[in-house]
Amino acid sequence: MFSKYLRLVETALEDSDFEPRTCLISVLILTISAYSFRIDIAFTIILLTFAFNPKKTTAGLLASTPFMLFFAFASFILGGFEKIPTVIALICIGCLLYGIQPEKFSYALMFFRVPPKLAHSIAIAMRMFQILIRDFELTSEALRLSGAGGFSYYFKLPKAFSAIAVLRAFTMAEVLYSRGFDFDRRIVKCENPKLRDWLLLALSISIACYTYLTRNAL
Amino acid sequence: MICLKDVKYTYPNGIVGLKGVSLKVEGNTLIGGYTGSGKSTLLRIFNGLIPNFYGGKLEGDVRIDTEVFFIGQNADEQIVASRVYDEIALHLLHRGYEWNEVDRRIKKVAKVCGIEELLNRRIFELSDGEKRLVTIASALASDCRCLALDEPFSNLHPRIADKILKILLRQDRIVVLSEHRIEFAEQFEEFFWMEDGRIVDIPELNDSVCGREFKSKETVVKVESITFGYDKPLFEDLSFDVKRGEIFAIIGENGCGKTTLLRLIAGTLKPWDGRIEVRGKIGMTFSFPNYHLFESRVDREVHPELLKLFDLEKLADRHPHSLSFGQAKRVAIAKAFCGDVVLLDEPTAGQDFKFRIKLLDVAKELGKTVIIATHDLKLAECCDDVLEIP
Repeated sequence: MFSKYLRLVETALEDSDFEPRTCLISVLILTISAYSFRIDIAFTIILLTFAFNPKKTTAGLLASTPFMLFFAFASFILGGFEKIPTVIALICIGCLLYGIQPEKFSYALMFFRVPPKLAHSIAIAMRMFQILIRDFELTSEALRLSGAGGFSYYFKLPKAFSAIAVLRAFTMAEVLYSRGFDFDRRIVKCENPKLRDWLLLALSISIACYTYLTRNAL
Repeated sequence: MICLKDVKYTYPNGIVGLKGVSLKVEGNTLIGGYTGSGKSTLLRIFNGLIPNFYGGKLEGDVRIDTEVFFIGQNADEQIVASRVYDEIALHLLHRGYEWNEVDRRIKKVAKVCGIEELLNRRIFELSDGEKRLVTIASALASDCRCLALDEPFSNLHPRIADKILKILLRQDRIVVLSEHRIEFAEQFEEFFWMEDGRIVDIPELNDSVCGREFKSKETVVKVESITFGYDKPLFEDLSFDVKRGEIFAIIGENGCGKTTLLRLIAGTLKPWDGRIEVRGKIGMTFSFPNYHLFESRVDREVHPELLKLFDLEKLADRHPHSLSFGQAKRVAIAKAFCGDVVLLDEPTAGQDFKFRIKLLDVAKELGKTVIIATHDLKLAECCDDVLEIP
């Protein structure tokens, strides 16, 4: 059960082939639109992300079910229930953002004149997240194979994973050092957006325009 | 050229890595030695990781007048990017090469190493051997005059290892290699042997292992007509069984599905079709040993009897994650021997040839059923039965 859940998270964080610059702009526009907190806009965004990124969006939504249940419970008591569609829309946008390959993400950020140090750091963080999910999955698998079950498994897992995460951070830094990784180097590579990327951008702009033009209608 | 004179090094945690090493590297050099003898420490000095990154206390004269590209022992840890192409490009891009030149070099090196089909693949889709090939390709694509490779062939099929070694030695640059497979020695201009942090005379090396006649009839692992794959099937209608106390080897080319088969037997993957039956508790090690180490001391990880059998008593009070790759692997293997059916993924990677003998001796002494996925054909030869995956 738990390993299936981890595979869902892994799928949600997998990179796909969106052109990073148009995807970044689309994500930004969709996020601004989502913050109108309107149900119609939220559902339109959910539909759009499902149409362009069905596998990852499904995995992302299923993976965030525990969080959503907690949010629904908290908002039922404290209020804000109507904001749930917006939260779901934001998760879908997050899956779209994670559809960009980490390295290309940093090249796109540098294309938009983001300082190289920040762009490289974001890309490494995104990559580390993917690696750590995999490490978590394998640590969990190894712990199960060692015979740990029930309470002992959940007690040992955070400790075992923390040690692996520290080790992974150390080796990642070591490899970056030995590869001569230069955090100040500006690397830009732009591929031409495909029809799918232009379509995503055009529809995102349409949603933003619709949100703005109908802001006083409801 | 690399020149070291009476170099001593102590890690920040007080462990002495080198105890007075003097050597001159002017041509292709092989550094041999037992596990934990200081080979990896020495290679890390060559590219400045020691002391610049690791800290600690370095004494003696170190003169290095060339840039050194270093690749560590565990391929999985040596990869930063998410795709093969970007991984090979990384070093070149950060050295300021233009994309056209980067692309040209990557295509050239991919062709030479035979990994053209992998270029657009995601790293997590690759087997350990394929990851190893990617790290070697990164080294070959670089413009450094010296390549320092720490056990680059441990996850590679011998045929591919031979091909890669020939490619490496054909280069117009210096290759320094640390390796347990001493059969490569004659192809190098220099061969040093390390023991306990020092360079010593090359001992007489005998890595032959005796076989045995195996008699048990009781089946403990039964694999019946299984089919499994990821995007496409890796095995179709595969059947075999393993008897109690048998040492069973699984061999095959890189990426053929050896590790996947072990995971299927362990039950962490489910076959698409067919049935796998295992009688007894499973003990397993992945190729990255640290996943199996959960405690704060080695003697808490491993049963005292196994600690003794695997010669790990010296490491008993160490933190498992502070060990070298080879030592951690040995601890993880010893831990797996708590199970009735022991599944080992590349157990001899990072281990000296003495361990090959030790592993088989312990398995026979304890009467355990052991299934080994390996590229080490010498180890496979000594097993009771061998399955070759096409």
